[in-house]
Amino acid sequence: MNLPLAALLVVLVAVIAASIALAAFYWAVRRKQFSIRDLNEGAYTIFDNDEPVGKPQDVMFDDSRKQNKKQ
Amino acid sequence: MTPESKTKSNDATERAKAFHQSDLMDDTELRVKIDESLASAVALFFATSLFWLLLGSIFGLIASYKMHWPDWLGEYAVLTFGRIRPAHLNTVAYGWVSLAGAGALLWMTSRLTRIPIKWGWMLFISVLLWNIGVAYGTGAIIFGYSRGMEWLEFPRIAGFIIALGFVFFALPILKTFIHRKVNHIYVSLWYILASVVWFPLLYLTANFGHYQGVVEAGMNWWYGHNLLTVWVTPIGLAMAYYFLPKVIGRPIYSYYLSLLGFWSFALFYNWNGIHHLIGGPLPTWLVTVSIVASVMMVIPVLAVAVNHHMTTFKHFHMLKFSPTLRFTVFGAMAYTAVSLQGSGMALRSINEITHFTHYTVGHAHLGVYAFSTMILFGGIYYIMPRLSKWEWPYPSLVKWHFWLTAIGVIIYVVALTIGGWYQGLDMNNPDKDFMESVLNTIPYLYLRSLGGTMMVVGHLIFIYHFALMVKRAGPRRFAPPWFKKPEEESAV
Amino acid sequence: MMFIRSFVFFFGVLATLLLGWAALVGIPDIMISEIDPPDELERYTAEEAFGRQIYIREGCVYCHSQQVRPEGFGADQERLWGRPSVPADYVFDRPHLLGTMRTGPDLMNIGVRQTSVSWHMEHLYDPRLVVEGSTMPPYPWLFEVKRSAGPDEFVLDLPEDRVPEGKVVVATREAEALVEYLLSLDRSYDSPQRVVDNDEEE
Repeated sequence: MNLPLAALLVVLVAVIAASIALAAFYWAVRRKQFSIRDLNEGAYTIFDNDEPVGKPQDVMFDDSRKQNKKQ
Repeated sequence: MTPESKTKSNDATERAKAFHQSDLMDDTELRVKIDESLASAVALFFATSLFWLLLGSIFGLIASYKMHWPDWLGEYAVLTFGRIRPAHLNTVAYGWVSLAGAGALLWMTSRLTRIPIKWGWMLFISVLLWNIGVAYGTGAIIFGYSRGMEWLEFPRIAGFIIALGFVFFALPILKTFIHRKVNHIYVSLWYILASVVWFPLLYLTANFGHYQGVVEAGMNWWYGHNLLTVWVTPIGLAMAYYFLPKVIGRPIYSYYLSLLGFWSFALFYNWNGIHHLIGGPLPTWLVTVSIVASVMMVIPVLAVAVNHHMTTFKHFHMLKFSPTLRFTVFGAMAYTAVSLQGSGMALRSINEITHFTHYTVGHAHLGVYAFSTMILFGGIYYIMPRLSKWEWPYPSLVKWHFWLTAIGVIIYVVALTIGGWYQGLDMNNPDKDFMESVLNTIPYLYLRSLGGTMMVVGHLIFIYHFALMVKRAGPRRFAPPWFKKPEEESAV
Repeated sequence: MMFIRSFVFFFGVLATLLLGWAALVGIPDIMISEIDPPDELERYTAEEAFGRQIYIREGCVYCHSQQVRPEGFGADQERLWGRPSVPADYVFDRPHLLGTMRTGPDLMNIGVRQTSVSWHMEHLYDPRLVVEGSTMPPYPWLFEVKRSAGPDEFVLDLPEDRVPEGKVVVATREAEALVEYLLSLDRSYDSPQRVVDNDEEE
């Protein structure tokens, strides 16, 4: 197998794979599988009622906090 | 403690709450359930990984000393440089990073799918097989039965045992994913799932394929670099994407970018490997393809960098409080640095100098230590108290651990980066005798040993602290808001 | 919907990895695994193959490469380490020992540069006996301290203070095989690749 043929094969496979991916993406967007709102909401999945947005976790070296807790 | 305006955060919480499909269980209760389903298995992953961390870093330290004191312990065959160096690489890669990473991925999977882990019993088989595989493989290298290819020194049997261990790790993750109780798959979970698919494929093709001569060299480095692509880097990025926003309490800066970052990462990164063979006997087009892909890596790296650093930006004061954040931010910064450096090193003009030198060794440690290992430390600091329901007893030990390892790795990387650059310049200068490139490097190798010693001392402190925690020794702490009872809430 | 999205995701990540494998391993495998060895390149003898095993066992590859870079890329040519390496030079090499580190010099043609058996033996016993300032480790377990040497054994010519009274240091079978292997490293014949290139031009 010589070089040009091999290179052509790689490019061909890459182009086909890329077009499948693009088509799937286009299809997904048209079927409203993706939406802008959806994506931004995703960033909030890691928070919940008990560990809400705006509340830092893992606060260890804060002395004032420690004293409060020890009561 | 809550700098955000109340209305804003309440609004965001409402939106987040609306987004979750199931809030059947109380959040705290669910979290405790998840942690209990994982506690002993993940703790086992962490504990055994720390054993390999200690053993591996001692191997590394011996190898480092031997670079400038070649006669030290020179009479022992099992401790010769050519055996102890691959033993170091394999124990830290397959023992420490892999086992600790597996533990962290399991915990994050369960948290992000919001259900207790499924098929948890498999994890005990996994941790057992994995440790047997690494122990067997390390023994084989030390006693002279290495396969002779970098990153693939373990005999095939050890590789098979590890692969089997990986299957018993991957199945619970996939099963848990199928039964997930969330609508959205968080970005960390993309990386986790991708690596669960990638790693077995990569490992099996590399360990059981048959290739000849230079093709084998190509496969060797396609594998060697891809171990970072499909396993080490996804572990670090998944953890950074989870812990940075979680600890700070703000969502990721741009969720779009994380999507772009993930897919460009998947597309470009696994074409990089052949840049380890620039100037070698492989066909030029093959090397060029890898160089192009290495430079294209700038896209996912910048996407991740913007996301991580913009999330942390304005919250730097929190580094004073959180051990997890401190380690994770250090790791995220190292990721940006090491990736951009890597893209640069793939360019022929730079590679001509850095190839075959200690510069590459410095680069490797900037990646696997300053990025990956530091983020793993941060993750263990966050996860372990939740599993053991016992806080880390001594914050001062955490500080020692951080500063020793952080300064140690900075000394290490800076020394080898400068030393390796001069080594390359000397080597490429035909007017200089080759021996000059050896002798001029030695001062930097002493510095490397200093940095390495600091890192090992840091590991000893960390392991001591870990043992204290598991034994529930030391003063009981309530400082971090973990597993607090409802009545304590008022004190916050 | 969720099922389709997951399917696209898993298919996507699978495809990216397989594409990389095909380009960087699969196609090169088809292209260059069938090359014939050059006429001058000989299969390793049993002794040399055994020596190669010792080379792998002691991890020589972590400090010594076996690949020579072309003119204008590093100083390999000026240092007279040999002509640029080509795939055909490695037909019999399994596992490959290309290496990625040059703490010590390249060994692709060490059998041409250093032909002395006794130099190699002393160098392996204690590198600093023959190379001042060397940082190579010593390999004393490849040698034996004996009262007297056997008929076929190689006796090392060491300085007096390095040999115990009334004893001799002789090479074991492993050291002899390793030196045999090092001496066999000779790829100084004409590059087979270059001949092919010239043919194409004509």
